This record gives sequence, structure tokens and C-alpha cells, in this order.
Amino acid sequence: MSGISDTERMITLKTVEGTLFDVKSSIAKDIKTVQAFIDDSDDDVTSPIPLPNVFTRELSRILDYLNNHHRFRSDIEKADEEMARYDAEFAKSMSHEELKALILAANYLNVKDLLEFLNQTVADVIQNKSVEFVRNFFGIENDYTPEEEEKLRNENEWAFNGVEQD
Amino acid sequence: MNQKELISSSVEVIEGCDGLLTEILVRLPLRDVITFKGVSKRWLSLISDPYFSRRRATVQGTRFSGLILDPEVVNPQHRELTFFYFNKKIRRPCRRRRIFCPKVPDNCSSMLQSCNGLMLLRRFSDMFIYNPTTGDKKPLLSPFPSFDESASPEYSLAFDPLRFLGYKLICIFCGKSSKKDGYQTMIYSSESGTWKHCGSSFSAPLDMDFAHGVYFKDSVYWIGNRSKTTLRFDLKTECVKDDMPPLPPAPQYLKVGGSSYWVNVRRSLKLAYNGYGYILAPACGYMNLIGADFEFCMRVFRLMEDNYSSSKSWVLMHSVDLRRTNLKRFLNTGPAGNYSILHLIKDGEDDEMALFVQIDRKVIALRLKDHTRYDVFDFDLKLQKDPRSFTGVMGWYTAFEYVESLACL
Repeated sequence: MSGISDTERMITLKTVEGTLFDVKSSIAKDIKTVQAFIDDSDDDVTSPIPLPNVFTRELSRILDYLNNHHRFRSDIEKADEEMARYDAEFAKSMSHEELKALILAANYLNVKDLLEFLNQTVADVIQNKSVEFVRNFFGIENDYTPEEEEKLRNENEWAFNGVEQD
Repeated sequence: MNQKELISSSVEVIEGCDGLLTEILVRLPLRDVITFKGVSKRWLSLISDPYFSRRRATVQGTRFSGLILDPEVVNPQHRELTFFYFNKKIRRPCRRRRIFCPKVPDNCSSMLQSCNGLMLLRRFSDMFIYNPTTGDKKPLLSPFPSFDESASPEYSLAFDPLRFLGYKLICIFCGKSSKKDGYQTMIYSSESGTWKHCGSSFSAPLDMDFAHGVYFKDSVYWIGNRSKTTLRFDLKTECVKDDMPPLPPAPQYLKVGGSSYWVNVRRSLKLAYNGYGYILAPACGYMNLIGADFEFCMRVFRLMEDNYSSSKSWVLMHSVDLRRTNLKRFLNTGPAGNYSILHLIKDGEDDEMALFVQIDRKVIALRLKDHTRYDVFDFDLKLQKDPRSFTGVMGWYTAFEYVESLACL
């Protein structure tokens, strides 16, 4: 690794669609899958790193998130407050479909903090919702028979009061 | 492939990835987790997996969130259990919407111990492990043949999903060998499903209260109020250790023939000596000790370790006379102060603590920091006929903490 330099090394990432993104190496460190690729190549990365599972829209969001978080962290005093505000906006700006696509991208790229944040965001979305809403959200087929469903419902009756209407 | 197809295929990928799905579901409140068992058979198996409950405990922490009160220990036929959360006032029977309530055990079962979400129950002569969150109950295999009643075993439960897998039971019983080293130990692990003998036999003062073990950080502790002894079973080395400092002496006023008050209940013989009782009370990540007389004075100690010599000692943290706090208006100042200590909890930030006391039909949480702030939970508790039997430390053994847990038995 090189020491302190004025111009930080840049790494180029390539999405499924072929879009190229230049990323500071300090940001790339938070993207564990990319960092592993760099480490495997003995830091000798000259051509763009292909990301065969990541689309342009998701990568651009992820880089936005990381860039902003890096910026907040440099100002310790206001970091927590600004980060919380940014995160809330970030979560609100996405549709459910976008959220799910982003989680998969963050999971593939192994961006730990973002993934944790997105997991919590999805948990917040499905919290207090009905089983039908959750099946719909994740695209799950109901594989219970009506009898099995009835039995399960009776066993856990105490947990079933007061579910929000979708 | 157009964008739409890509998105719908990605949905299936979240659903198809157990690890990712688990990470989302462990962040949900308990009630949702239980509801979502009904989404599909795969979700049911994912949520029922022991890994799920461990991971959920790691992400959400094992928060101590409620107390189950069982004041009718003397007369189990007519007892009424009361449950409440600390920050929300609710009581049993809990039919209120949106709030999760534990399932309290049936009327014939008495609670012996609560430990991080699991409970040890006794129903007539049978012992059970019980999860009040899921309602699961499992009979406990006795390590002794049914005809052997000479051993008079006492059991303690250890369950700590952040430290070890499964739950463990420690059985202390009287061996048949010499009187001097009369006690022996057996340990049951839910992982192996079997009992085994451990360590050599050991001696203990006669007043050791092996019926009231307290789990804290890889050890189960017992105290003897008369002999001022503390013994602990170390779960890592699987043996009983006698390396604890003696309990602090009772306050001066009791020694000089002050009013020492005897409670006329058999159980109290081991709970108090010379009118002064001690109870072990883990809170704030420390082992604490509460000493109380049978009037209105109590002291809270904390077990501190010296950094250099690593010797341990009980350090006095708080000394409270309820008659000199804002609670005095609740007190009925007869000779037998009708109050009882129920529990000690962490209160807010910075290692501050709150003490739950029962005064008449109310439960009151007193903030130990300044003795001025308190919360009243007015349940109209059903009291026993003889209120004196509830005085002092007695109530401690009728209050059980409730912690959410999906742990399998």
C-alpha cells in the first residue's frame, strides 16, 4: 500500500450494463467483495473490476451512501445527527422494489454497515404487517394447507391480535 | 432481459437466501416473528432453528423487560400471577392489543428460577424447563431413581445464549459418603441431553441456600445468610468454588440488640439471620447484593474486583431507609414494615439502578441515585392473609424476571 498521497488512488468498477464508476480506494475498502478482489490481485488493479451481479442503479446508490457516510465521519461533532437524517431520507427515497434490489447488491458486494441498515429498513416495512402482506412483499407462495394454517394460528393465537390492515 | 424481469428475479433471491432472510427477521419484534411462522414452511423452519434465537439474542440483546409476580406462594390454589413491563403498565390477564405477553405457567406449577428467558418450574414432584415466550415446556429428567429420596437435590438453571449453547442445570445433592464433604454436584446439558457427575464432593455450611441459585456470567451463586458464605459453580471448569468474599456484617444497630424481627415462615430460616437477610441481585453487568432488615432499611453492595490483586470485595453503593425517602407516604409504619424487595434493575444510563419494592398492594420502582424519583405500578395485588410473611427479602423469591426468548428446549 502506498503511504499518504495528495491524489488518492482510484479504482474503476464496472456494472452489468457496462457503466464505469471511479471509486476512491478508501471507499472501496468498505466494499468487501471489491477489496478482496484487489487483495487477490496484489494491489495491481489497472483494468476495471467487473461486477457481474450489480446493476448501475444499485451501485450508484451504494456509492452515494458510502461517500456521504465518509464525509459525515470526517466531522465527528455532527456525524451522528447528520447520518441519521441522511439514512432516514435514503430509506424513504426507495420503493419496495428498489429496496429489495439494493439489499441483494449490498449483500453481494458485502457492504456491512449498509446491509445492516437495509435489513433493519425491510424489518421496519414488514413489522406489524399480515402474513399475506409479507408473502406478497417477498413473492412467496403459501405452501400450507388451510388445516395447517388454522392449527398454526390456534397455537399462536396470543400473538395475532392487532395486525395492521394493509 | 428488461429491468422488470431482473427485479422480480431478485425478489426470489432474497427469499432464497436463508442467511439474508434471517438477518432481516431477527430484527423484528417478537410478535411479528411468531406471526410470520405462518408465511411458509421454510419460514417456520428458519424461525424455529436454534441459530435464529441465538442470532436474535445477539442482535437485540437479552433485555430484561418484565416481572412476573407470584405472591401466593403459600397457597397455590388461589394464587394470581401478575405480569408487567417496566415501561408499559399492563397486567394479566393480558388481552390488550398490540402488546406481547408471556404465557404464565399453570396454577399448579411453582416458579423456582428465571434465567435469561427460560424458567425452572416445579409441578408437584416433577421439574420442568419452561419458555414463557413460546409456552414450550419440557419435563426434566431426574438424575436419581424415583425411589431414592435421600439425596434431597436442589436445582439451578443456567441459560445464557450469548455465552454458551443450550441451557444447563446444576444439581446439588447430599452424597452418601462422609458427613464432612457431604455435597455432590451433577450437571445436565441440553446439548448432550444427559446428566454427569462433576468435580469432587465438597463441604458447605448448613445454611447454604442451594434452592435459590443465581446465574451470573458463567457461574451459579448461592449464599448462606448465617455463615456469610458465598459458593459458586463455575460452568467453565465445572466445579464448585469457594473464592468469594464473605457477606458484609449486618449493620451495628442489629448487633446491639436492636429490633430484630423474625418471620414465621419456614423458608425464612435460610433467607435471614438475626433479622437481616441478603439476596444476590445481578444488574448493570455486576453482581450486586441487597441486605435488608425487616423494617425499612436496605443496603445495596456491588462485587468489585481489585485490578492489581484481583481480590474481590463487596462495596457499599447505596444505603436506603424507606422512611426517609419520598416513599414514606406509602408506608404503613407498624412494627412489621409491610414491604418487600422484589427486584433490582439497571435504570437508564451510567450504571444507575432502580429497586422494585412492594408496599401493600402496590409495586414501586425507586431510583437509587437520589431516592427521590419513583414509579408506582398500582395492581391491587392480592395479598396473603399474613402480610408479615411478605416482609423484607421474602418477596424476592416470588418475583421472576421475564426476558423474551425463542429458545428451543
